[in-house]
Amino acid sequence: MKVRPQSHLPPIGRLRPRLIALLVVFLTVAAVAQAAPAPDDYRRLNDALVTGHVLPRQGALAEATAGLDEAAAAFCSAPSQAQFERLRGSFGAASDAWQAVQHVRFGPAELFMRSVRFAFWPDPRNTVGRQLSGLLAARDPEAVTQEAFTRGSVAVQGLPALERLLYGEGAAEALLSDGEDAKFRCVLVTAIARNLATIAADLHREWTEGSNSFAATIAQAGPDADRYRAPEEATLDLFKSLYTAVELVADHKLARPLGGSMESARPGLAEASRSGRSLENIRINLEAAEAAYLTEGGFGTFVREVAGDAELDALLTRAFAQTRRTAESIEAPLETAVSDPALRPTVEQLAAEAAALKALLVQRLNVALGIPVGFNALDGD
Amino acid sequence: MNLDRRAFLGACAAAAFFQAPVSSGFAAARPAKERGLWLSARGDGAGRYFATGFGADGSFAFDLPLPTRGHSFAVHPRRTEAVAFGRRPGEYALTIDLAEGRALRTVPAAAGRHFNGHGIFAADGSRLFATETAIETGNGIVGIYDPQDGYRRVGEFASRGLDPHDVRLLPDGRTLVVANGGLMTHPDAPGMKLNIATMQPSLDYFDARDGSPLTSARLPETLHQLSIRHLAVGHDGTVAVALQYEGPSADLVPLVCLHRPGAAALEPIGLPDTVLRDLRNYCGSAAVDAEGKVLAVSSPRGGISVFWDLDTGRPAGTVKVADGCGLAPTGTPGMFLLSSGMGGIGRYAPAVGTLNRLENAAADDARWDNHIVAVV
Repeated sequence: MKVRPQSHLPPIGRLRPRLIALLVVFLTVAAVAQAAPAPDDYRRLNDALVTGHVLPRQGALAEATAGLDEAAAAFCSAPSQAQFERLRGSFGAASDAWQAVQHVRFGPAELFMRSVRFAFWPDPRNTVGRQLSGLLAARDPEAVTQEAFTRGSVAVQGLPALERLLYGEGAAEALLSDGEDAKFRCVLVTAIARNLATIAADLHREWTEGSNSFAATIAQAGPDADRYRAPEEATLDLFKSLYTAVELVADHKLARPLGGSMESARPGLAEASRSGRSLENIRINLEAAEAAYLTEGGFGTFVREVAGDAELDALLTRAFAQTRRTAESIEAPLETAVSDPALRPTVEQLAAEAAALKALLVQRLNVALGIPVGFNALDGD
Repeated sequence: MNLDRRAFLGACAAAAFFQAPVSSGFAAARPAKERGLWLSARGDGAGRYFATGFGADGSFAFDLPLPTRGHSFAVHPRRTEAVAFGRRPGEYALTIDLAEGRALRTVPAAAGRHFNGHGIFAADGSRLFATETAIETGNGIVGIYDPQDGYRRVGEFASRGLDPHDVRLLPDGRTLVVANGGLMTHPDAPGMKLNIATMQPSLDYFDARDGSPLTSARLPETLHQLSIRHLAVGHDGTVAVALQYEGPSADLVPLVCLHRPGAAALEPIGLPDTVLRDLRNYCGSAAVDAEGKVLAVSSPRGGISVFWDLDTGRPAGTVKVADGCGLAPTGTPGMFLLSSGMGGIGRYAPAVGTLNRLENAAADDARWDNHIVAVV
């Protein structure tokens, strides 16, 4: 579907194309009109985003998934309705913690395919469902060991598979009944919970621990470094994380279930319909993006104090807040709202705002940051 | 092929040093002396997309609205006609009268199929081949269309891999080469790669007369996350392969390979590690010059394009263009056009080392998309 920015957001300012061409098309032109930010400006921004945004969220994810691991072990050692409710609660906490940091896809998250193993989504081919059915039918404990997970299918070892085991049709009864199927389901639930806790702990450790931590890698950006030969290269990765958070909401989490019209709405394409968390996930993603902008020393500070663009800062601050408020105002599950004549317009408005916000990031914020990203570089084929 | 990763990377490290100067300047524009017509898809910054033809000075010959973002073109070898393809998952191809600069016909994707953005005509123009994906299975196919019959779809054959992207015709005029990117995709998750853990890209050859498969080449298994996406064919039938890596960005992997006529294996082309790193594990476009002897590969993520002497495999220079992706030959041997997603088109010959911006402002205002195709 096509979502057009609506008029209630201020129009996206467009630099005169000719000026852009002169400034950035051929970056080697000496005649760059405005002073570029200094390397230390980027270092301060990176440091603020890493310490104020990335690390606390990685820590929260490690904590939440450790809780999930415990809850799964407790439930499966003595299955009960009470322990099942606790397990579902822990799943929700782990899911929320993931949604708050899923946009940070560079660094440790790139290794061992951790991002897709943690949450294989989107899944338009129902890979999770098909492979989970296969696993449950085979009941082979060897297929769900940690070692098998690192080599095997990425689709059955993360949050979407666990969501099906906890919230799928008949899943609660299957898990709480007696017999071999219930036992194997428990083996799988504990294996996935342990896998998520392991991945989150590894992510957190690799971001934080030792002189080779990824936080240190970012701090040490410079001409002699392997990974980042200039601090703005790390800023670009952090910017792309911010962009990813908004892009996933606009182009996937909203646009797909919305479809082009009420008649062509596809609620089944929402992210987490079984657990009813689709809209909550979107809210958390938008809050995370807004937090990266507003955090002390973060993108907003840079726009004001380094780029000196108070107008853009005000515009982005309003855009984040307005989009968040719209998301908060939807009082029904996303799957219902997209097909409800009274509720759908607000979801459409949210999609339009998220699309406009995305455009602001990639047309204005990156220019203010001095790291223009072209649409070929951002969205290749 | 059983070339292991170490040997493969070693071949890269043993590359010749760069000899041509690295361009760092952008000379004053000079009057264009060349004639010609080039095609490229573009955006305008307001979410509108066009199929654009431009001349040697960058002025537009035509500028046709597209329903969604376009990608590449196929140029008819005999008629003044070309076909623009929608970007994957493309729902349309648009045929264009190049003489009059007008759209002729929209060819919708076949039922259950989408276009992948590239296509090529048979040497005599009697058939159009388009890379496509069967949506339900994700399998790659090559669709066959009849230009004499309103581009009616007259058949298809399996591309022998997932996500076929670029397709070219070899100088023998009857061998098609297809870049199977190896990615599982679906229109319900546009742009998302659904199988990076298990992807198996391949380079596959077919007899253009009946679509029967010929040879196939793969990368070493340890490099299965290198998507084979864009191709350029040298004068002797050497196929240059430009790759995109879906693995961790810190990995240093070969990004440009050659497949020499008759060779079993893909051979990585020489490139110093520092330049390889500049490519950011992502090549956007490949082209050879008018004589098929100089190879150019762009990396929009690195903002750099790299050139080689195709016969020797020796690097011939680099040029920096922010978000530079489109590449096409000009009529002058060794000379290329380079376009930027941030606007602007430049002329560049690595042997000369000076980047000249096309003087017509229309080119500056466009967000040039991935590819430029020269109308010979």
